[in-house]
Amino acid sequence: MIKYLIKRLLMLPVILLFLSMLIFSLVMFLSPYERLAVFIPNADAVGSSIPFDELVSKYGLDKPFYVQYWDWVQRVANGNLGWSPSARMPVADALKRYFPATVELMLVGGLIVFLGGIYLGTKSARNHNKFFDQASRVATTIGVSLPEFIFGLLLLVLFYGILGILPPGQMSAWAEDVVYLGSFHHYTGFLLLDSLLNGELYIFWDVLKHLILPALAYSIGLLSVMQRIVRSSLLETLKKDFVTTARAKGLAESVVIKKHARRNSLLPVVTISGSMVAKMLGGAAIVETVFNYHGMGMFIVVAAQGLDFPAILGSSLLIGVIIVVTNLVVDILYTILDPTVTLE
Amino acid sequence: MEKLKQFFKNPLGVTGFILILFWLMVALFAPVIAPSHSNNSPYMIERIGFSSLPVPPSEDAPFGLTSGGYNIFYGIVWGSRTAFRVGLIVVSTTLVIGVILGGVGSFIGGALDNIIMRITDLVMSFPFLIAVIIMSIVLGKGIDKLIIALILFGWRNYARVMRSEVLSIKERDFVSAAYSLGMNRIRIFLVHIVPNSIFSVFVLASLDIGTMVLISASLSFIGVGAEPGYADWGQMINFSRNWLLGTIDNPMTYWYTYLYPSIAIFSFVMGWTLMGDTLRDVLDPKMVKR
Amino acid sequence: MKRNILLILVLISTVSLLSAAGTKESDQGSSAGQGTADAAGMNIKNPDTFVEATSNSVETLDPQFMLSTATMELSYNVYDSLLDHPDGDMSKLIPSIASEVPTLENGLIKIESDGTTYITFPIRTNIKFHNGDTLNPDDVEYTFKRAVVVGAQTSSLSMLTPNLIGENSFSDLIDSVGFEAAWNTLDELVMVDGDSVVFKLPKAFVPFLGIMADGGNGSAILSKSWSIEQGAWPGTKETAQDFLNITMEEDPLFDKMMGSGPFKFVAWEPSKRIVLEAFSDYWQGAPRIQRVVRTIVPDNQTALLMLKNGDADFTTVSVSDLGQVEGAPGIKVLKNLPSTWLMKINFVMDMDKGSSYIGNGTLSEGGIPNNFFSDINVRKAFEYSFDWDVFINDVFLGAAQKPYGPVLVGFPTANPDNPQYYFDTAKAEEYFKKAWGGKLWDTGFTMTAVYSSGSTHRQRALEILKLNIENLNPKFHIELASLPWAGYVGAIKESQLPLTLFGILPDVFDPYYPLFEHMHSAGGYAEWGGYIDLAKEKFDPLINELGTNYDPVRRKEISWELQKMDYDNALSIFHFQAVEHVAMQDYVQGYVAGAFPGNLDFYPIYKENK
Repeated sequence: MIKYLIKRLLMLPVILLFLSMLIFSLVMFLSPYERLAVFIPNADAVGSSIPFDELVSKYGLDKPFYVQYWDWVQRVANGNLGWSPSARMPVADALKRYFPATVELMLVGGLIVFLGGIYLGTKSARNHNKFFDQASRVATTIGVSLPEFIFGLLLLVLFYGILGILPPGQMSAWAEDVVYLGSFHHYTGFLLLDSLLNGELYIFWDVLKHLILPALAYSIGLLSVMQRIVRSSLLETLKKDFVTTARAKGLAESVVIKKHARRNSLLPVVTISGSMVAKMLGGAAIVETVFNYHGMGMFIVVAAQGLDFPAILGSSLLIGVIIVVTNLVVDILYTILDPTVTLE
Repeated sequence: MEKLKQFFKNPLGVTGFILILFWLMVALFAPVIAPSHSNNSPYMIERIGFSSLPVPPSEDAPFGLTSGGYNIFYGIVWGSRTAFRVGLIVVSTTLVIGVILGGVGSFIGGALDNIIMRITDLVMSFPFLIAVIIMSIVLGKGIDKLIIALILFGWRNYARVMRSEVLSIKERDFVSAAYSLGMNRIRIFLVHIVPNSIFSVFVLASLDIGTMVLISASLSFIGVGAEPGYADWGQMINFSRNWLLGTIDNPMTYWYTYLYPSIAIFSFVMGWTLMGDTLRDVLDPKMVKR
Repeated sequence: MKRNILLILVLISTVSLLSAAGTKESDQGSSAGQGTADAAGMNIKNPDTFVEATSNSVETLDPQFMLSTATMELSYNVYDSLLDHPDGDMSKLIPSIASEVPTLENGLIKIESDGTTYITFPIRTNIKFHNGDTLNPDDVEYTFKRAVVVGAQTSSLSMLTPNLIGENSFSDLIDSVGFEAAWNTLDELVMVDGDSVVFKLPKAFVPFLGIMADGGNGSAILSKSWSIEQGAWPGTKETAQDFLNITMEEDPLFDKMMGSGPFKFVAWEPSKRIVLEAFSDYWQGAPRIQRVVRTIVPDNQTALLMLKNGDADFTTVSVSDLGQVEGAPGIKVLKNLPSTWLMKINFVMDMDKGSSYIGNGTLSEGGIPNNFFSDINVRKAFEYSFDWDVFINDVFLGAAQKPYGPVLVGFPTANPDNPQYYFDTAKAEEYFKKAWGGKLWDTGFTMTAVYSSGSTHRQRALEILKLNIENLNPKFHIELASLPWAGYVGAIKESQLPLTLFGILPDVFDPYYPLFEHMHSAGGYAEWGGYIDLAKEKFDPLINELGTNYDPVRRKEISWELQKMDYDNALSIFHFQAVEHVAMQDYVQGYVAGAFPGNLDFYPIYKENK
């Protein structure tokens, strides 16, 4: 087991190195001027008076690519991820600022996905082929087929456009005043947590209110997936011998499900949670764009559109680490839950 | 045959089948349903004028015009071809790549398997959507480039699923029996391993077609993907983004700009989801990976 | 069952808490959630704070490095320049930090016989910076020396530099004459003389005063001591070479501002918002609004929702969105405000031979030669194929102007009677038949016209051109393609594209600027369009004279002649000059539309029901 862990962890830098080379080689095709565009804002309102050539040489964009890659690797080895022209700050600062926001979004979304998925899945399995099961089956089919951005836009129009509650963004303007200007202390970078630690309950609610819609928008698809997994896995477990035995002992159905069947059927949930994290990180890119929620997803989309490579590489590294670590955790959890599995 | 009957007994499966059939007909008969009047590629959405405001449905354009004079009906009809093209090309190519990499790797085992799995790990260690966004921005605009980007990162699931299937089938009695009968390895792989392990890959594929269309729509939505004006549903929703709120007097003024494309994407994806679900239930009720 | 009850309880409590939070906010009288309830104009949200919603992000806070016009809104309000324009009238100059506008008559401009020009600005002594320091002539001297040393990129300054030092940048000057000589040139360039600052220009340069009158943009006056405290160039000869052409990340003034303008800089959250606060010691009196929040909303729709919900006070509106705000209760809309933004379709007369946008690269139905547009008949045929009516009325719904020529409508010496091209298929056909010795009409051609993705007006303009030209002759083919902004800029710089859609946005109200950019061999477009030789021979002498001659009559003559020459040579299709629309809450007062109506002067703005 420990050997396996070490092996996996040693893989990490190798994966990251390849990842960075992959992304870097992608830009081999691009001319220096293309990579310069991120330094020039507002595509419509510019004229020829912008000193393109001076800018290219100033930012070293005309250096050969291996030189730029080597510079980058050296800097990263020294713990410096570089400077992101699209975020207008060092990449490390940008990640520190945007990553917690996405984590919060993922946590709220994950809560909806896991609790909702397990609850609905269990209920469907218990009412196998009855009305609830059929209805939720239709609902989850819709959930899987509805694109996040369409659902997100619909939510935005309904809750902000028509009802005037649950606005887009990360927090209200008055909350920004408190958070960025006053004596507000950023203990963790997580706004929800920080607002509690600062005793600012209203900020907490404000931030949470802004989180609900995006979290809903991108959890709807995963929620449907989760519901299906729990349902089918539970149905299968319910057919197994030990469940029949438990029933034969005269235990109530709810006890059978909660105490015996469900724990066993959670294995696939654990399996899937690894890829769920990856999916949520991806979904964040779309949903954050729809809701103007400044997190990692939007950061990456903006960086990619501007071909801001320090930012793309920096955030890729972070995401790579997260996913590798998540998979590791999933593997470990798996061995704990199911003693018959051993890690190779 | 038995399975096919089972499939058509399931009302959800039939619904899915009908939806797909409907879109298939639309795609096949696109030149008849919405004939192209210009000498451009028929995949460029027909224009009626250049007005920046949407125009409500009329004789000429039964679903109305979205901003820029794009004929919504035309775009939806020809967009079905784009949807099938993206879905089918991406899924069939990734399926073949995945089956070969995952199947052959695990069948032969050893260093090859290890290398292939490490490459899969590498590709897996990055969210699919973000990888495709970055890739398609680097490659540039166009459906073909989007397809390349989707293929580059899309094969990984197939490789994984195929690998685990092959690993379990490899150990089965009939395989060892085939070995003991002196069959050569290539034959065993093609005759025994592949046909027995491919079903779960097919199920995954039928679900994936919808997913790929969803992802390409999402990409078009954030402005990477299809060329502007290309018949692509995701892009048509992107066009309608400005019209969601209508005017002050009537928030629903421009309903036609977003309703039709949304329904198109939604029904297309749902068709595949329903079909894939039913297939899975029929073929392999145990399979839950997704 | 128990679980169900729990779920319901959680739901109920969530909803009630949410609504509780909602009421608390409205008690505070701030922000969100109240819809357009205050439509009657009874209560003013945040009476002391002005919130502008914009989609324009900020690239830097250093006024000498701002590349986009939108960002200059910030320096405009935080800094002051030597001179200014009166509200809304860009053709007049008024004193600002300088107490007098230099002219030949009042003797503050002196031209020696060799052309060397001395311009003296008497500096006011009662101006305070935001940190309490008094502004003195040293600060002015430091500001312009720093601009030269660090390689200022704001367009007015980057155009000024060659006129000050005779080279494009200080490092070029060092390369050509050595550091010592270069430093001496710089040192003489601007000198303090008592309470005045004297600029020494190697030759007369008429637009100089216009550059100084940008109200706090590129020519914003920095505080010397403060800048040095922040780590900017210390102003000494020894350190000059360490600060040559600094990058954004090396620039200590990148993320802070401190000037003598009406507003103090408070905070910048990149890609989110900027907060400014009234400066009570402003030399012209404290502004009426106490706080300004410029919040970045990338999505138009969201900005409009914020406006309707009272979360924003001001935003610009695109023409297609006008329907969503016009007539909305409590919101006023100002339409068709002229903007100094001219767009043109430029012909590239000398493309890269390997360009992938010219088909097979020969004169045939499958392509065009790389010098396709060097034939004036082709250019004229294209000009006559553009349908301004459709473009302006359908695409812009009437919200744009047809330009007279390279000098923008509203600029001094813009000539409304200059001949203009118009849509005429017969003329287009006539010129196509003459083109390439009469061969083009028979061979036909194929080329790819490219726009930057997301830029609708570029796309539509090319679509119109394509439609009209393809209708003339079935052998004419124009394919359309789009490139991401980055790729577009790259392809233009590498002469890949047959047609480029790029504009002129002069910061300085002088015909010299648009004409220089459009026609001078060093202006940029001549290089991109491949007409440098033509420019050197025909345009440069006139443009140079326009830059040095103070006689208004002669200047008008030259300007008209150049406008006529542009017409004769058909350098580009001037397809539109933009107008803007802005929307604001009814209670916002004091808005004055400037050169760019979306760029606000916050100073006169206040909130009051009228």
